[in-house]
Amino acid sequence: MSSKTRLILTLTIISITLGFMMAVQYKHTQTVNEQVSWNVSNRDVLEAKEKLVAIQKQNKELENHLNELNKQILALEQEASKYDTSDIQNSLEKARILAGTSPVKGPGIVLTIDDSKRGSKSSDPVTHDTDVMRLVNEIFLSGAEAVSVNGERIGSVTGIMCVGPTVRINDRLLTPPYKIEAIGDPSTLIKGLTMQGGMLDELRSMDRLLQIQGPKEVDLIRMKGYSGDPEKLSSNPARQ
Amino acid sequence: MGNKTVNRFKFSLFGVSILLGAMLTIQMTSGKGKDSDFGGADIIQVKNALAYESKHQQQLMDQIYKMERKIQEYQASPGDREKVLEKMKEELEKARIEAGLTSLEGNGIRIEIRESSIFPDSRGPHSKEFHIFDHELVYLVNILQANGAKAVAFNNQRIVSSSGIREIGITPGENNVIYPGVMQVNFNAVNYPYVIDAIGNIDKMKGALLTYLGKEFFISKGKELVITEYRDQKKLILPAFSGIPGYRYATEEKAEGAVKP
Repeated sequence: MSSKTRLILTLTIISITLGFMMAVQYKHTQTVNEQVSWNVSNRDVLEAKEKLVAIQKQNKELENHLNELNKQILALEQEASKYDTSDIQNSLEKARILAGTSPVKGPGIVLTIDDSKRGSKSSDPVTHDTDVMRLVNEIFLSGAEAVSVNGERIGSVTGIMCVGPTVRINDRLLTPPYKIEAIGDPSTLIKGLTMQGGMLDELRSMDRLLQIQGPKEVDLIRMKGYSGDPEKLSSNPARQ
Repeated sequence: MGNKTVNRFKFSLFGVSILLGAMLTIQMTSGKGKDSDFGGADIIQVKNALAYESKHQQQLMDQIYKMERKIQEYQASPGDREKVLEKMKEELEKARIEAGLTSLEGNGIRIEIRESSIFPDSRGPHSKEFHIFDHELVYLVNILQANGAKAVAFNNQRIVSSSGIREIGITPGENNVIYPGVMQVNFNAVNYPYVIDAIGNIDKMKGALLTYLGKEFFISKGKELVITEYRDQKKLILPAFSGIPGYRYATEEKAEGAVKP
């Protein structure tokens, strides 16, 4: 075989490989697009995502505004009850903290839980609603006075459920990492959470390789009040 | 083969190799990304999230409107503390209902988890697969809360924000045997049958319970699940939380330098 023929043959093989790779690349991209958009164009997905980001930003601003108004009301009430002997402000404060409807502050702990790193050989790499739910249950059992997950305050009828890859809390879809904040005695909370055989111990010992940070002591935690559907909190008192 | 031909071959090979390398890189990095920030999520997920956020926006606007009105009312009576205190009393009644400090009545469902006649007494040691664990009960309550419940009570213990459900003293034995402990709700012991009352949207709560747990879950554990509806004339009554809320660390955060009433 002459060197010219050899050259042509080599180039042909390389070209065939290149062509094969181009075809694979094209097919793969198409499959990814189908998975991502269910045949909806990428532009539609992008537009919806942009809308989502915009509305999330607006809601954040509204939440902050609501929080400020809430704080103003509390200050006005404090002023009005300065000389009151009925202790109404104290009772109101306790009831509202228990309901989770007013902004609170205090020392406590922070704990973050995230899915396992991409590419890890985890048997179950995703953080589930049950993981968050069980951690919240354990935090309250450890003496927490107020708890929030990614800023969503846990109230008397707050449910924690999975919706696809997100976790729904107070009708908000939250995405990992889940930052759980708890107000209470930091050392008691840390002791309760790091107990042998506890939920954190269980999560860490499993082969799920979730990324867990904390519990870490924090001097001052600020939490907003519940801002979900007020209808969910309203009920009729029982007739005496 | 002449030098010219060899050089041309080398250049072609070099060019093709670069192309091949570039393509391999694209190929390896063009996989579907992680969904966590909706970055690679499908349109259904994004639209779902959009619907939730739009609903939340409306709720926020309503609440802001109410708060602004309340501030106006407080400020409309400067110096009239009595008027503000009167409004605070109304607020207290509302807050007690929201917190679970008031006994409530309304339409709802009663869920009973009973030991079935074929199953031996659950208080004695039994196989692990027949045991109802505390986290399964937490999940059951959670399903109700996430699906239309406005108030829940577990064996007459009202579930409030700081409630916890835990079985203490449970001990694993040999051959998959469990020595059961004591189930506690709000740090009070509860026994079989477990009775969970929930006021709220009956259809939604019932549907979610049967979907996420189902009767089969309890049958496989040698238990019976009985759901009874309470509507209109026959309403459910839930007790108030019997604990005394006391806070040593959490305090309400008030605005500094707020306008005096």
